[in-house]
Amino acid sequence: MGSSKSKSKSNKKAELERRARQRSARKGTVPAAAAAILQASTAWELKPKPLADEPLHDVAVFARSSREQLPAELQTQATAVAEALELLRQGADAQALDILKDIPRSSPFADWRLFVRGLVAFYAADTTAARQAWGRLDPTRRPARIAAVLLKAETDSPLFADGQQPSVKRIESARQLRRREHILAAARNIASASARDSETKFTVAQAKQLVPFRDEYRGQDPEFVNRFGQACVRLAACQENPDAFDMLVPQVPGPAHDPHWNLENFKYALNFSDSEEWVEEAADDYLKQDLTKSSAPEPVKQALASLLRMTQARYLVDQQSSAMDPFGFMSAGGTDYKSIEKLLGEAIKLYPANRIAHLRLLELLQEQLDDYGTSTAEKKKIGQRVVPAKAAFVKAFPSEVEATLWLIDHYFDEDKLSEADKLVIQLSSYRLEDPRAKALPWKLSLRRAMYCSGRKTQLAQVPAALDEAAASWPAWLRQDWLPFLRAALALRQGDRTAFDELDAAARAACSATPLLADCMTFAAVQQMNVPSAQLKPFRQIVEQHIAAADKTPLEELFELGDFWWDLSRTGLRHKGYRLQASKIGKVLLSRLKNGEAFQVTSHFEGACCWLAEHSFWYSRFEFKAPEWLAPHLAEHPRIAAGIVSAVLRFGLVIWRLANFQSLIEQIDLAAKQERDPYYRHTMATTVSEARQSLADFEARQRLSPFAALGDMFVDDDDDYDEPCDCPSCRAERAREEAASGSSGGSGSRSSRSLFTSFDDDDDDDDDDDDDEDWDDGNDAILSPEELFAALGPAPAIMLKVDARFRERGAEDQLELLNEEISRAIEVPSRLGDLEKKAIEIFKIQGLSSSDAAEFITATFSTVLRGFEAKVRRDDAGAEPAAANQTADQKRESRKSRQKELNKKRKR
Amino acid sequence: MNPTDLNPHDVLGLAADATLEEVRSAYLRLVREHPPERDAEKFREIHSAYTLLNDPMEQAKALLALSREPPDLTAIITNAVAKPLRIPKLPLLALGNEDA
Repeated sequence: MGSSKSKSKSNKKAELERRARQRSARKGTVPAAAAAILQASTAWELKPKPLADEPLHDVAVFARSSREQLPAELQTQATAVAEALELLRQGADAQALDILKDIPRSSPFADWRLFVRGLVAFYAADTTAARQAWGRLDPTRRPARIAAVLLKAETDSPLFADGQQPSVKRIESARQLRRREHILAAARNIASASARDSETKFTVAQAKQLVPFRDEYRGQDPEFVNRFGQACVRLAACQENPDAFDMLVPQVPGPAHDPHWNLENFKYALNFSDSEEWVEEAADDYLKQDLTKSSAPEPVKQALASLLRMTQARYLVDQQSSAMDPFGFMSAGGTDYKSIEKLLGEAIKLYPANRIAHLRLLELLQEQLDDYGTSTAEKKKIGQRVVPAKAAFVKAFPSEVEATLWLIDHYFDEDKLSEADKLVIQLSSYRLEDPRAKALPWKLSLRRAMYCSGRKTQLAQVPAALDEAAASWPAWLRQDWLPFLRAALALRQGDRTAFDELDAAARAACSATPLLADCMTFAAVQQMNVPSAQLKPFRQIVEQHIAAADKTPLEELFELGDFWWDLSRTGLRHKGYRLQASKIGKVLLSRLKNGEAFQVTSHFEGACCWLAEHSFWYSRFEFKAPEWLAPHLAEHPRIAAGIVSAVLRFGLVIWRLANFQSLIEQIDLAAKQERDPYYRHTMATTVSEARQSLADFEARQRLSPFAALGDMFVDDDDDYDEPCDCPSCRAERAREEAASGSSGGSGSRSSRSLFTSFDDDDDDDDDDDDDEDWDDGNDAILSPEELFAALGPAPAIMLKVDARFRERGAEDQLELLNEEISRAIEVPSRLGDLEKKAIEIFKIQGLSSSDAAEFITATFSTVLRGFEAKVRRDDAGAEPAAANQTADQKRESRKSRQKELNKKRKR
Repeated sequence: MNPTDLNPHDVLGLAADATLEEVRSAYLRLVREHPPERDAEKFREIHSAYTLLNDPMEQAKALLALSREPPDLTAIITNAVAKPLRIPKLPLLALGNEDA
């Protein structure tokens, strides 16, 4: 009621304004263009009037009372004609012709049918066809009179040469009715009244003008008026101030897919931080009110609903990652994984073909598994959710290699051979180019051999399965490992003599070093399920090698790394691999870091790829090749691809993009010349995934309303420069390294750092102190005391600001602002927001905007100085006490620091 | 130019919220205008745009259009100039009134 009242009020106001304009025009006070507009508006008010002797059936088209006097059949035809004219107005030409097709030639309405046919041609600018149709009309009737006026107005030639010609006034009215200049002039008036500041796209004053504009012109040109009004709403949604948007939404009907602007409201909400409820409400409103009633095809509706939920999840992720504490640590309680997981699950349920939603869900589950705050029990539960998530992904995308291979391995591990078989058959049917997919029959045979070797009753089937594997052995994999498996089978069957003979033959055939040969034997006996009592001597031999690893020639360690790379890339790692590989990896890396000389052998690439796969030398915050590798990287693009692939799994970080891009180009070039099918495929895939990630990253940057500010953190130096030195990166690195030293869960995927999951190995608890490189991270977290001690004397502006805020009892506000500044170090896109907020707060406290800018800069540099001081002190080794701490003490100390920090943040 | 570099809606001359039916009719019209034997490159562009837009997910993405540029009101007004109006029913019927 209220809205209709206010509408009639605004109609009345518009009418009064129009009359005032008319009066002014009559007095000659308006220019000629305005007078033309005025004349146009009178033409729009024309109403059909019946003539004295006009046939009833012509009057019946516009006068209901006359229509009711006609016989029922003719009444229907009159209604059809009136409807057809309305449809033509809306542009539904085919529909208009269709509803008249049943009017017979003998009907008095046949002339109207002919008129409509001519009008369709006329609106399509085909005046010849229009003239042809209208030429057959009865010149004494209304259809002919209208047609004559239209034709004369458009072509300036008469319809009937000998009949009565339409008056100039009527011709001018027809011309005015066809023109939209007056409407466009009014629209132009609104568009040009833009705000002076560049941030406001559509002002409240413009919004106020749009309401009478719509009232006045939507009857004349609904299509344009709607399009223009909708564009205004969208423009109003491109600015921070929501007043204009809020004012327009109830006034302007939305487009067909978003009639109540709920979708636009949702998109608008995404631009604001801390608006979870607004985002959720808008999404729910759209899904419930609009999408269910939408006439869009069902699959589009489902896809849109799914996208909406996924975007909501993305928003939550962004919000939570930006809600880190001032020094870069995740807030207490961490990420709200549950809500994000729920939204992604919903997105998948709504549209199972939403590939990105599947990938994001899997990433999220992995993130939880890698989160140092996740307990072992929780990890177990999460691990159980990974399997159905992967299964759903593979069901929706049966040609997904990575996920299918993971599931196949999982089913083998769970002894669900038939499930694995189904997936192998499914993936093989796609004839994929991926060499790992092509090698599936080989893997299936090998895994079957391993499976059967674990069951006494099925031992007899193992040789055949191994033969099958031998027949389909991929060319890109070393084959000298198979004889070791056959030897191990002999041991499993209880034939020690045969084992000794076969093992010796295998060693002789591959000319492996004792280190490699012993590790291959150990892998084979593990995989052939030799009873644990018999395993001990094999393990002891490997452990002796590990103990002597610091004296083993580096080339021999490369050879072993190359073998383990084969096991890793085929997903055939054996029990005990993690422990052995982790120890050897650490020793190898340490010796390389110390600058020990080595020869680049044929095993160098494989070993480096293996190291890259396990992220031995970098984290997501340090995309840098170590000194020993950097000179060889250009010659070994396979290694570069391995690094990029591992970095992609960790996720891109904004300030590393420039490095990343140049490396991708190098790999792309090399992939085209690569002969090995495995590397050719993986290099090409890595390049395309990396480009996609970059595109996604850039798209997200563009979405941010303050994206441009983020560029200041983009590193455009040459390749492989020093790791990012910003405090949050350092802190995050420290956190990550600390986490790798204390991870308490299992189930991390194989591609993560071995050190992350190393402590989980049941047979390893002596490693905490054996390599200081990996323990350093524990001490890199700054305690609040350390940080504030390092800050030094505060700059004058900070003292001034502090004094002013204290004086006015606004310490809380200053604290909040300080917190915002620290957050902005972590999330550069907040800088724009921050500066505005700071200026506002400072003004209230009687400080200038230049004070605000100076204060932000000073606070930034103070925090940075604090971190630099800490790093300098660490580099100088000025913490001897920490070096003497035991692993337990370090853990305790870390925990208490974290608690202290959380308390401080809460305060 | 790679057909996938172009905005599929622009290629088919459609608004971002075009329906599947509109996509189909625009595709058929353009293919008739640019048959592959006469204009192979344009045909590839059209076909690739159609394939994209025929995908419900692509349609949904276009409707959600998170990365859309702010609309240009002046351009909307300029584009509207060329097209004459269709006359509403009553003023149209009134054109058949007798002159006074």
